[in-house]
Amino acid sequence: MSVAADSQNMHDSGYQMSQRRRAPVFSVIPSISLNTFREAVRNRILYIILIFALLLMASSGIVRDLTIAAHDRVVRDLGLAAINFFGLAVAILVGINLVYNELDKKSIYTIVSKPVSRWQFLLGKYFGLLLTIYVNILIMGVFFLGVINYQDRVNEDKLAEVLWHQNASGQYEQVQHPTLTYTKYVATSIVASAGQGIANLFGAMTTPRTQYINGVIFATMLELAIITAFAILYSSFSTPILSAIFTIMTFIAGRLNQDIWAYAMELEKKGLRGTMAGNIKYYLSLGASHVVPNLGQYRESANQLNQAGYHGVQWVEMISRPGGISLPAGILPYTIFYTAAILGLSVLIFRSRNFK
Amino acid sequence: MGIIETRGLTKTYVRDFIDVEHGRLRFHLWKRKVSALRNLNLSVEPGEIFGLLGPNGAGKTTTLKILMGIHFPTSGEATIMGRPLGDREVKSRIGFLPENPYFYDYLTGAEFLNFYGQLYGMPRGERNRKIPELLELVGLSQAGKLPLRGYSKGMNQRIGLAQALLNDPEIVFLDEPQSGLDPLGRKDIRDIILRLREQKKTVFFSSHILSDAEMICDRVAILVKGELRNIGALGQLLSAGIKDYEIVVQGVSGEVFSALRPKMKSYLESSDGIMLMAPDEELAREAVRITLDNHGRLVSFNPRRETLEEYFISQVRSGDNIPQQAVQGAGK
Repeated sequence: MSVAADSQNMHDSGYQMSQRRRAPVFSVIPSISLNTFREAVRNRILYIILIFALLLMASSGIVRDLTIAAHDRVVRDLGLAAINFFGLAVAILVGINLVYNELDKKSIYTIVSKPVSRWQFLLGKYFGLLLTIYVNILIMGVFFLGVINYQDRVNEDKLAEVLWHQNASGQYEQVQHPTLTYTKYVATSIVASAGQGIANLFGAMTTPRTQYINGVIFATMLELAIITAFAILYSSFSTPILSAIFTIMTFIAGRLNQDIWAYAMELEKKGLRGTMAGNIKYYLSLGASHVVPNLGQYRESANQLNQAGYHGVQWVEMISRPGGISLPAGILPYTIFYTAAILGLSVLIFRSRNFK
Repeated sequence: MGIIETRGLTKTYVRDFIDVEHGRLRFHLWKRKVSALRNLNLSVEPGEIFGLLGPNGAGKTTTLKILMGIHFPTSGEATIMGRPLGDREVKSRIGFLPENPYFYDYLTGAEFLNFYGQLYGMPRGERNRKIPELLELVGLSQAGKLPLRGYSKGMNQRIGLAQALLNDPEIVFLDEPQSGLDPLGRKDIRDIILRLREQKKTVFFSSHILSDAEMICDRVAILVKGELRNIGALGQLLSAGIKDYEIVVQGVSGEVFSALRPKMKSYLESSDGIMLMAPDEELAREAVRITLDNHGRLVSFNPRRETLEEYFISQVRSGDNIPQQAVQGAGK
């Protein structure tokens, strides 16, 4: 039946489209995102991950005491690794179930019958998951910066200053009520450290070290934007277990991306491409390094920040000038385009699927 | 032209790892074909209550899934309000309750309706007004603040109905709305459907239970094994006449029926009484008269019509002898 005939029929039967209510286009995505966020927040698994992360960071003081040298670096790397690892854990453990559960429990049936397109649904899920991960990272970041600040405030030297003072004859004597003084000092330090942690994350009261941490947290957030897109892609057509495996594989391959590329270059350089096998290896690794997300650059950017000797950047500066001082040029556009491509692919698969 | 039209709607499921169908593009890893719906032609008029009836596995849910855009038809086409399936404008004017619905169980009833209201693009004020009203309508005003996790099956069905009515839809699609409900719940749902009829809404629902359908449906279509067997008013479809009369009596001995006994369809004597199955009204009257003349007690007198279940069975047994004119005339 032609379009003209259709519209003719519509008028005949008296149910032409009124302007009663415009079907929303973009407001739907935030609604779905917020609902996804709410789903994650009311899920126990998120808290288990978060508690583990916070415990690990809180115990960094013990690890520091156990190391011989480079105390600061051990604490810093431990905390940043925790943020990275547990951020990834949320992306995988929460992400793989998000779309699958909707299909498995058939809640998608009523969503699809509403004026919601499938791409809106998928994007809503993506941004909801990303919001969950980012909120998690920010909580971990504030906590970690708080731990570091606390360690700066409460250490042997500082405690000695607080608990012992020099009298007129030049001798040290302990203050009265040392326990009370100690408790008071620790309590105020905890509160002050937490406040300073929040301030640090938003670029105030920073030290080179906290600036470096901010930079790495930012790189982690960018990296997880890509990984989350992959989690959504995989869960749009396979089971949670498979999605988890695929996502982890993608993460590992992505981290190795630059090594895969270097391997291809090495083959070229050493003249090993002459044979058939050599050529196959060369093109496979070259191809793989182009398809797989380049997650190595986020690690690279962290290293650069490190080598720059605490020449960290501030949040606002970093976002307005991506790649400016420390992050490699183009890392922000790279993240956006790569994520958009993966989400586009997910939508292509998802829009023509028969939900079971 | 009806408000819902299907022409040659066919669905063949291919069970496989990845099942992508988009227009002519198909991609399957391996195939196992299951024919769920064959050449369905239906036309539903505005304002009617239309029942899609059939035994389990007849293709009722498949039909609804295709109409709702959850599945894509293998061939054929369908329109709702004259628009092709998936039209967003149409979707904002219909409501749908799936079979055995699951909703986000971490939300409370009110939060859930609020979320769905947002999906319809309803402004906050309208949502705040409409949600308590709907909770009241489906009898959940006390449970609006409880999480859906704690809802019983019947409550789930009710909140599902509430979300289907959220946008004041012109057509309501209900998949087995009364399944799993107690008699009171069934009655409540029936009352709501009847109220929708008063408001001149179109209701399209599926059921495998006759009593659900026969009290409320204007017309029914009967699906068996993915094929349309018949369409029309329910009374016309089932043999209008009465099949037999079931009579149960007490306080008389079996001897009084000795003359009548061979003419009965069946005869059963037990310590509780005597059950007779009379093939026609005259014999049934005779049996009652004999009972009363002998000072017996009439326990029950039950004229039995053919039930939908029996109809299904006869249709399934009839195999390929489908009344063709019924199928061809179905779209008219």
